[in-house]
Amino acid sequence: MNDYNIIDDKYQANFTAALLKVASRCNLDCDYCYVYHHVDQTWRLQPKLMSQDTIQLFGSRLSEYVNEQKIAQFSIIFHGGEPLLFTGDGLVQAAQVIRDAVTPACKLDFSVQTNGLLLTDQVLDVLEKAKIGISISLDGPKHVNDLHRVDHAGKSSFEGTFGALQKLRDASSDIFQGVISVIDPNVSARELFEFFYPLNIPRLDLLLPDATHSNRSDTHEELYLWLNDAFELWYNEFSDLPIRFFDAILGSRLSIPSPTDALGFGAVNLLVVETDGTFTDHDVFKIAKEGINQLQNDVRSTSLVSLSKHPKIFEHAYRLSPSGVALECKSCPALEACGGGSIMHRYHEIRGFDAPTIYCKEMFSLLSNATRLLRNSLLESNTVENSNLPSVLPFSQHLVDMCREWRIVTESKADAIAQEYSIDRKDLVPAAALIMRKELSTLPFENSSEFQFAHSHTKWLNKVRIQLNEPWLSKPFEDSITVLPLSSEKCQHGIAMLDVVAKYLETVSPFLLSAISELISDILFVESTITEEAGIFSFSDDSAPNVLYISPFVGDQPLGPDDIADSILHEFLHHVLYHIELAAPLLFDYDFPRFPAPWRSGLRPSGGFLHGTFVFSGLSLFWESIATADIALPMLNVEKANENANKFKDQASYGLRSTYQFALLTNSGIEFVEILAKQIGLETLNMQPPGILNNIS
Amino acid sequence: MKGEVAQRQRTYLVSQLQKHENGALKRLAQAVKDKSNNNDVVNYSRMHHRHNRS
Repeated sequence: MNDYNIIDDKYQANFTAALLKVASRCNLDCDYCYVYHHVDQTWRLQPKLMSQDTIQLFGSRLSEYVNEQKIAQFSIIFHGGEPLLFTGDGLVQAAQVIRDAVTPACKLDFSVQTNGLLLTDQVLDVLEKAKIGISISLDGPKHVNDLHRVDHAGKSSFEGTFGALQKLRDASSDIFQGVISVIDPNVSARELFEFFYPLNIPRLDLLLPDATHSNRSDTHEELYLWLNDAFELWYNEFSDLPIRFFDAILGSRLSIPSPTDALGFGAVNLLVVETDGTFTDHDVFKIAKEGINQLQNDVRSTSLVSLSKHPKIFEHAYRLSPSGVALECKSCPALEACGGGSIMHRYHEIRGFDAPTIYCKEMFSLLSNATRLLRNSLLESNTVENSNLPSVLPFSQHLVDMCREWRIVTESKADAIAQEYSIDRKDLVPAAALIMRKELSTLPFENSSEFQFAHSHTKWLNKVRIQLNEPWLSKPFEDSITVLPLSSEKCQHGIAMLDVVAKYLETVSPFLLSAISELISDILFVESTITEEAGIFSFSDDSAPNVLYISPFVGDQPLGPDDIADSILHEFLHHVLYHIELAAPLLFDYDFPRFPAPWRSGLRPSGGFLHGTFVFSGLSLFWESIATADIALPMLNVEKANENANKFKDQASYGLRSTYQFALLTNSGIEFVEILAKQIGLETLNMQPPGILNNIS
Repeated sequence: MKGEVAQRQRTYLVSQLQKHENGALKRLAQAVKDKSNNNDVVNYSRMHHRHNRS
């Protein structure tokens, strides 16, 4: 059972726009039209024009809805067929009827999507006075437009549509909203852009040809190259021309919500009213199957609130959510941007909408190229110097030296705090000082005795304090951890394991232990107080530099040296990366894009994703090292070590390829990823789109 | 630390986008600013790596 069958408010539509099909017939006969030339033929059953009664009833339904849902703005698009068959005066009257019905508290925007053939001066005048925006459908210059957009006698529609476009350009108001064009890859992108660019249109919307897995477009193979060439050409030479689809692709690199249903997650916010007053879901669903968008409700019988909870609407919304994409998409690094692609383009005769878009390869490639172009532009103007990145893996003397420097940097910050608060610097724990400074930033500091200065304590590797009783080190995390008492069985187990842990870590590199001892000031053995965290647990936090928080038990079971070493290395590597990033940012943006991570549910911000990737690269080397160690390691489980080595290598490989292709890496970031790839033995950083997996179909 | 870098980089990124002559980058910079103004931004205050594995 799919979870969209569960009644859940999160899948309820939030209607903010309605497509009113005021005319079901058209004065053109475009061969790609989803209304007349695809699977669904229900237009034949519709009255030619919408009745006044239907418009009045729709106005009442809308009024009821915007009041109940407190909608502040709603868009109404007159659509068809060809909506100007309803006449300009008819549209103005319809708009007025709806305006009269709906409270002034809700701002109504009206527009019409037309081929422009009936846009006379008089019609333009009345639409302009009624503030009804106009968008034109035109595929390009005459010979391009004539490929598909002809009348029922096969004659060109170009002159009429282009004339309408010119009228709109000359109009004094801002009612011209833009142009919609369906892509034909047989036409060069340069020719298309050179035609539209000088026209100074407010916006061009390029539409992918409607296609499904059951009904591929004739030009599908050519489209891949066309889109990539067109995007790059637009970016480099025609970027002043706003193309909604391309702007959305570029914006997705920084997680700007998609303004088009061609890509991205979202909610159902558009409803369709046919000429007879029946409600349907998005009318492009018609390309998939006869009657598939029918909701079996109409303006006479059904409120918009009821409609927003229709099972088909729930399915539509579910498919627009991360839960509702196909299995192949769930681990795709382009998931958030693509969102599984347009739902209609996912249709598969066996799997329904539970499939990747037929344009998977195209979306993947466009998003990858957009990342590259954006990254290159940022690199061109980047004034931040590249750092001398340490070869952190598989650990070197250079890393040891850097760890010593980073420790000094942290201590100098603590020194400044000690001076500010007149605290004796001796034995001051740097992380505790930094936490205190942050926690007390708005309060006066009254008493230095609040510090539990570090005196007697256990040390590991001759330098790292263990279980120091310093309350500031745990204060910000008290809601989610408990520091184990030094005398507790659990803490003593952790301490007892440390000598063997050192032997395990030493198998990776003798420099690793030196690096840890140079950088890490403290290890605190803790346990999580969060019930859901039932597994092996550790953490680090940027507010507590150079401190590791490690759980030596999982539940009531003591951890072996392999898992404790894993946790210590894991958190140590996070600290290493914190310090690297302070010296040389690896990403132009640490939040976006976001990635699905195999090691954690949900989408991870770029920064966290890169951290995980780095850590798992190191851990794959660690587990491989202990699995193949030529010395006897107490309590070693070779099978487990090999399994973990493979698992972490897979995770690191996925992370490295994903960031290389889709993250906004700086030069340092690119170098960093390339170094890591080499160090874990990754032959290529290229990635392929998931596509449709045959064994699922 | 990490939060500090993230915040610094976001500011830097927007300033770099605005500097470009490229119209698409200018529109992108505006979209990023609009999004930030709508409070749809990540809390930069800290970066906490909490690790829990089976």
